[in-house]
Amino acid sequence: MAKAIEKKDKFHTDKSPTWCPGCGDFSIWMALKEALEKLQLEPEKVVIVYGIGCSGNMANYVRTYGFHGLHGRALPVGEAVKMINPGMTVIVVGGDGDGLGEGIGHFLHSVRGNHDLTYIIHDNQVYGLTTGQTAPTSAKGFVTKSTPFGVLEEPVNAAALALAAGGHFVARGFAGEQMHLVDTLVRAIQHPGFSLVDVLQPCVTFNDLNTYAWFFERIYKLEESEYAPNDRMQAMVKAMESATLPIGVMYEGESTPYHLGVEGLDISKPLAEQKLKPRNISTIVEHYL
Amino acid sequence: MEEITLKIGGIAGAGIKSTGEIFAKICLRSGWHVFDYTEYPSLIRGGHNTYHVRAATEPIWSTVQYIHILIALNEEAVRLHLEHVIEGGVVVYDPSVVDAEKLGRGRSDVRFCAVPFAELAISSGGIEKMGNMVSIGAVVGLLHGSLKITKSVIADIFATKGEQIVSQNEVAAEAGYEYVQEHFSEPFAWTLHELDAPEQMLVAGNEALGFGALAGGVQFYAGYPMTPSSSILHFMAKYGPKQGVVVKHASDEIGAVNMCIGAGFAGARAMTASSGGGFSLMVESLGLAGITETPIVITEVQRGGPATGLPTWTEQADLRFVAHASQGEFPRVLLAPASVEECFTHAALALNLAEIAQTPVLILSDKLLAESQKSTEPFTSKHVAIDRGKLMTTREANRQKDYHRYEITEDGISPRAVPGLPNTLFLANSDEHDTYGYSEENAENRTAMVDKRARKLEQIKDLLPKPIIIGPKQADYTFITWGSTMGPVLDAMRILEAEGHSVQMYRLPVILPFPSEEVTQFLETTTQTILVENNSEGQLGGLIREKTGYELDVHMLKYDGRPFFPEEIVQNFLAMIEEAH
Repeated sequence: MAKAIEKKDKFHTDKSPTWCPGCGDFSIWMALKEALEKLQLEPEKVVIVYGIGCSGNMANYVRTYGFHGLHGRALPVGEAVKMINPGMTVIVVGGDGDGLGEGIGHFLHSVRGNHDLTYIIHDNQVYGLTTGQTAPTSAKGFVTKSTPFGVLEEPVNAAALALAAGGHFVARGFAGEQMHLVDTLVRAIQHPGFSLVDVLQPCVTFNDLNTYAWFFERIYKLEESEYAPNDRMQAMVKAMESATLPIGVMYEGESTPYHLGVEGLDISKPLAEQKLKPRNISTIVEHYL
Repeated sequence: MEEITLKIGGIAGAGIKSTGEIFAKICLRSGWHVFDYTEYPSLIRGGHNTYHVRAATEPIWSTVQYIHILIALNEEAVRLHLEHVIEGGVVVYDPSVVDAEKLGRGRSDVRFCAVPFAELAISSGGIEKMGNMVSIGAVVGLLHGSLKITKSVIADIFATKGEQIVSQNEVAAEAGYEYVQEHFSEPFAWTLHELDAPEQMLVAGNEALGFGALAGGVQFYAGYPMTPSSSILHFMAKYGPKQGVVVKHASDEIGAVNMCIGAGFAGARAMTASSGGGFSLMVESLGLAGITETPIVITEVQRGGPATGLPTWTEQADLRFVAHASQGEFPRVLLAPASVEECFTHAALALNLAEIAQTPVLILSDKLLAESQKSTEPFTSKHVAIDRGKLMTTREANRQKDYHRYEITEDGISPRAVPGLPNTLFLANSDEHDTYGYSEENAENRTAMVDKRARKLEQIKDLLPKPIIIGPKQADYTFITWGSTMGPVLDAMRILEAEGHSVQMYRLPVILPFPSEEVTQFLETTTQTILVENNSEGQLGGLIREKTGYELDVHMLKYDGRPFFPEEIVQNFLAMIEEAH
């Protein structure tokens, strides 16, 4: 019991979530804190960068170093934090609208750069905070306030995109399977390089289609099958499944994180801790005489 | 003042720029002052390119239109530029390519020196491309300049290409030099004699900004290529990593600026640059840096706008845009360097100001300043000091019991922690927030936070360069400028003063925070004011009116993509006086 209270304190703030009762965000939030506990990380060694939306509001509820940025722009902030201070664990939290709408370019570039961070997408197939418009992951035909005649586009498949862009860790979670999500997040955070965890999640207020029941009818855990997540093409097949929805780690491969390749970056001594003095520029000046 | 100007014209891809740069360096190493200027269309190959080198025995600040020596690499160069060749000037050309004499009929006051560039390059053991070195040698020969200095410049330029290439190019230059000695022995009115002068460097504004940033301790540079800002990225990518700077060619301008914000939040000195279009994309994040109080430096190198506008030409029409960019209100500093020397000092200063005030600092440059090379005393870090403001040390963090990142302080600046320090967890929040950084929308907090942020600028006022008066303290006429227009105005003033006119210049090196008091005091005592700007609306004039209530008397504006030329300012000035009488 005493341990449970201590646990609660470590990553807990005194702010109460503003999410709707029953929202999948609660479970992602709990799972993230549990994963950080399991990894025995200290709040001072973790930076979480958030986008904008219901997912981004989590910024107020996790006690670590935090950066609540702009809609779709969280990834480049997180990438730089990792380069400047490679000793920190960097996690980026975004929504499907945030990260796969305005932020889809950053998403693909972050994957192909293999920046060492864990990207958690709250994927509820709808825009919640702006009261229920279509999201990039909404099903074709989905009727919302902004698409009264049904969505015409194909939904964005984050896992498939990450695989196509050369991602070395691609996973999917489900807010209704919190313990499974904890394990997935632990593996993702441990992975060196970019790791995607696309978390399927019901929006209990604005999405009447993708409900808990709808997900429970379709999801299955990859870890409970013979599936081995070491083949990119097989992972792509899993990512593209539509009648049923696999959750768990789809792919994990060899990976060298971006910051290890950066010329001039001394990872033994984070830039943030280096003492700054004016640099000697005389050898460069010589080229201009 | 003795002066020599040289213009090279030809198609893009013909080595115009490198040839011009070699001549500029020969003048520099001969002890002369140099200012060069390049014109090129937004094309990789084809189109008409020019490079104009102006060298003088006294300091100069701008380019001019008139030409003493024209190297015509094609017939268009003769057609377009012959009218600017002054009496006694010379056209140097390859007669197998250009029939300059025929094209120049009617200009008996100009000498036509046919030098078989390609033929001499080949006969001296090189290849046709080395014809450019023949032309350089020929020009140095006509000017009775130093062949030794010419060779030293060639040796340095081609050093990385190996000894054989160096020697072939040297021999080609020598062939041109000897050819003119033999065929055009009649003395030329101008000579490039060696001056006993202190050593100088030749540097463009963008490179000077890079030098200043390096000296000032920049640790992170992210950028996306956009003319005319790209050479800052190139400079940083070339020299940064060896100095421990992380340099990233980002996926786009939004990524670049957000990376800089992430780096600033994480405790590194961060900088980015773009031109107007790319800066437009950065605007939302400018406000993010403002509300999260993250230090960041953004340079905007103006070109003709709006939209894609004139990609390779100059303009000063983004002043109002940059001054007002982003929704909401937050403190910002806007610096406007006017010379390569100021590009250097302002870049280092900007990094300090950003950290001291924990807010974005903007530097506004333009194509003329960014890409023109000017001679200057070699840069040194000697006078550069780094001030990181209220950035916490580990020891200070260890003493924290209840850290408030956004503590309401009297000076508006809060002690700043960065991720990784002990006891200082905080949230940098794009939403309005309380002193810890948690989202907070209540009315009192909002007002207190807006006020706190606004108070910061008062703290840095003393660190900012004051408006500058050049010329006599009391004058009949005052030119008012900002940024690169200082150069042509200074050179025009030299001419006007020589003709007995009483003129001075008043220049604003800092646009924001606007020095309202100083400008008001100054305008109270001036006589006739002449605003000189490279835009059509007189944007600084508008800002002065807004902040001081004073309307400047005359607006001298130019917005055709070309910079002001001093002789143009002189003409406009004389016409103005004429009209007044």
